[in-house]
Amino acid sequence: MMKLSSASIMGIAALLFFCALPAVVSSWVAADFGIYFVYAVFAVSLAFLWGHAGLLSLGHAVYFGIGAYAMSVVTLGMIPGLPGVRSMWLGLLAAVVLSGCAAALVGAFFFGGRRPLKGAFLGIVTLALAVVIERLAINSSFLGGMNGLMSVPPITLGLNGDGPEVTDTTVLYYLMLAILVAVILLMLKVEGSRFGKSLASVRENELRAATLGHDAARLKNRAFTLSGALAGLSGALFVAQFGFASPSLIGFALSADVLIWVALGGRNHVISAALGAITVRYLESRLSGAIGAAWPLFLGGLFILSVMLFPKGAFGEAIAWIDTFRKNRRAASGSEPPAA
Amino acid sequence: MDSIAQRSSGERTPFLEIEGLTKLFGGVRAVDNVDFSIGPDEMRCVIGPNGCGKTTLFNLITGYHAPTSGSIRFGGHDVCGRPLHEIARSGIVRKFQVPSIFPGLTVGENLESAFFARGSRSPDARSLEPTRLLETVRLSRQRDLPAGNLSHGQKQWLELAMVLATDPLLILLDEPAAGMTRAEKTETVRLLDVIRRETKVSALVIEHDMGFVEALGCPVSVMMMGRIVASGSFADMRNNRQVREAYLGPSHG
Repeated sequence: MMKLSSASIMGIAALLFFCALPAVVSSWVAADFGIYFVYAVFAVSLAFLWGHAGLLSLGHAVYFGIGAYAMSVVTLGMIPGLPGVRSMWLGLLAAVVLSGCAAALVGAFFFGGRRPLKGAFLGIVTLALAVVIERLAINSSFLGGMNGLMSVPPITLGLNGDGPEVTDTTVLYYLMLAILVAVILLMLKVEGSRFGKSLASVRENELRAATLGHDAARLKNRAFTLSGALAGLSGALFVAQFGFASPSLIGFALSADVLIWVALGGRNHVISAALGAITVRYLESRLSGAIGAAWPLFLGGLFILSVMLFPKGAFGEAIAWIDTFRKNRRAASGSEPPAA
Repeated sequence: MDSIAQRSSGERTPFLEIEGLTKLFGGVRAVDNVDFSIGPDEMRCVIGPNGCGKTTLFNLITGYHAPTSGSIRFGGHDVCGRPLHEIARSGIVRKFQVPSIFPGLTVGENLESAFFARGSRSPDARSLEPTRLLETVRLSRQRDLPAGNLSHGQKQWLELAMVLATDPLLILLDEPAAGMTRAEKTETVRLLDVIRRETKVSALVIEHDMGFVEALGCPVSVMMMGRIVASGSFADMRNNRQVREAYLGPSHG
C-alpha cells in the first residue's frame, strides 16, 4: 500500500475544498482567489528555497517583479524593435527565462567564490538587492517609472495576443488552481529527486555534504535559479490577471509579504506555504475592511506570535500534528514494531 | 557478511604522497615539514598528544585548509588548493571526530545523500547501496528515524557508512571510537576489519585510545609538535623510548 505523507493528506483535503469553493462564493470572491493561487505559487518558490534548500531570500519579489514586467512588456507589444509581437506565450517564456537568469546570476555571485554568503548575510544582501532593483524600476521610464505599466492584457490563448481571452472568473479560478497544483506536484518531485535530496543534505550540514563530494555552490545556485524562475512565472500570471505592473511588485514590501505568508503557513512544506499565502491574503481582504489601517499591525503581531509559538507555521504545525496522530495510532494498533 | 565492494586492483596505484607539508597558524607550526605516504590497501594509525597537529594534517589533506608550503599528491595529481568536493570525488573521504551527519534527515536519507555525492566514479557499485551498508553497520531498523535521534555510537557508525557509500579510495578517520563505550569500540574494530577486508580501501586513522590502536593491528606513526617523530609497528612504538617519554609519559614506566 502506498503511504501518503501527512502533508499530501492536507494538500488533498485543501484541493477538494478549493474545487468546491466556487459553488458557494460569489464570482467576485472567486476572482480574488485566482490571484491568491498565483501568490501561492510565489510562496511555493520561496518555501522551496528557504525551507528545503535552507537559503533565506529577503528580496524574493525581485524575481516575481521581473516576471511581471517581462510579461507586461511582451503582451503590451513593447519589445524594442518588435512592435508587432504581443504573445502571451512568449511573455510567459520571457518571464520564466529572465527571472531564472537573474536568479542564476545572483546565485553565482552569492554562492560562488571562496566565501559563499550564508544565513543572515545572505538575507541582508538579498534584501539590499530588492531595494536597489525597486529604485531601478521606479527610475526607468521604459517601465513606466512610479506608475508602472498599465492596461496589461488578460490571458489570451492565441499565438500572438489574439484569439480567445480568458476573463471568466470561474475559468480563471480553476486554471490558476490547476497551475498551482501542477507547480506543487513538480516541486514535490524535485524535492524527492537526487538533486532535491542532495540539496537537503547541504542545508543540514554543508561541510559534511561538500566533504562527501557534493558541489554545494552548484546545488545552491541551481535551487536559486529554479526558485527565481518559479517566482517569475507567478509574477507573469499575476500581472495578466491584475492588469498592471508597478514597482511595488519588485521591491521590499512584497518580499516581506511573501516571507510572512511562508512563515505563517509553514516553510518546511510547499503545501503549507501555499496554504499560508492563500489564507493570509483572504484574511487581509476580509479584515482590512473591518479593521482598516490596523491590518498591517495585526499581521505583524500574528507573525511575531507565530514565530514564537508555532515555529513550523500554522499549517506546518497541523501537518506535524497529523503525523504524530498517525504514528501513535500505528503504534497502538501494533502494526509496526517501535524502532529501537 | 555481504561483500561491500569488489574492485579491480588496477585503479589503486599510485597513492597519497605528502612532501614537506607545513601549516602555520600565526607563529604556530601546526604541521611542520611532514613527509608521509600511504600505499594502496594500506592502513596506518597516527597517534600523538592533543594539539600535535593530527587533525590539521587531515584538514590539509581534505582541502579544508591550504598548506603554507609543501605538496600533497593523490594518484599522481596535486590536490592542494582544490575545492573540498573535488578532493572528495577523487576518492579521499573523511570521517570527522565529532560525528558529522545530516541530523534532520532520516538515517536512510543520510546514506542516500552520500551515495549521490560520489559523482561519476564507479556508477554500478551496487554493493555500496544504502540498504547493504545499513546492514553492515547494523542500522537497518533505524532507517526511517531522524539521524539526529541516534545514540552517539550509532552516529559514528552512520557516518562511517556514509563515507563508504561514496566508494572512497582512501578514508581518513578522525578518532572513530571517540566517546564510545567499550562494547561499541569492539564493534568498531570489527567494522573496520570487515570494511578493510571487503573493500580494500586504504585508511588513515587518528586515535587516542591505545587499546583501540593495538586492536587495529596496523603500522603506527607518532606525531609530536607538528612532526612525525617515529613510525613502525604498535609494539615498536610502545617500546620506543622517545615515544614513551614524550607521548605516553614517564609515569608509564
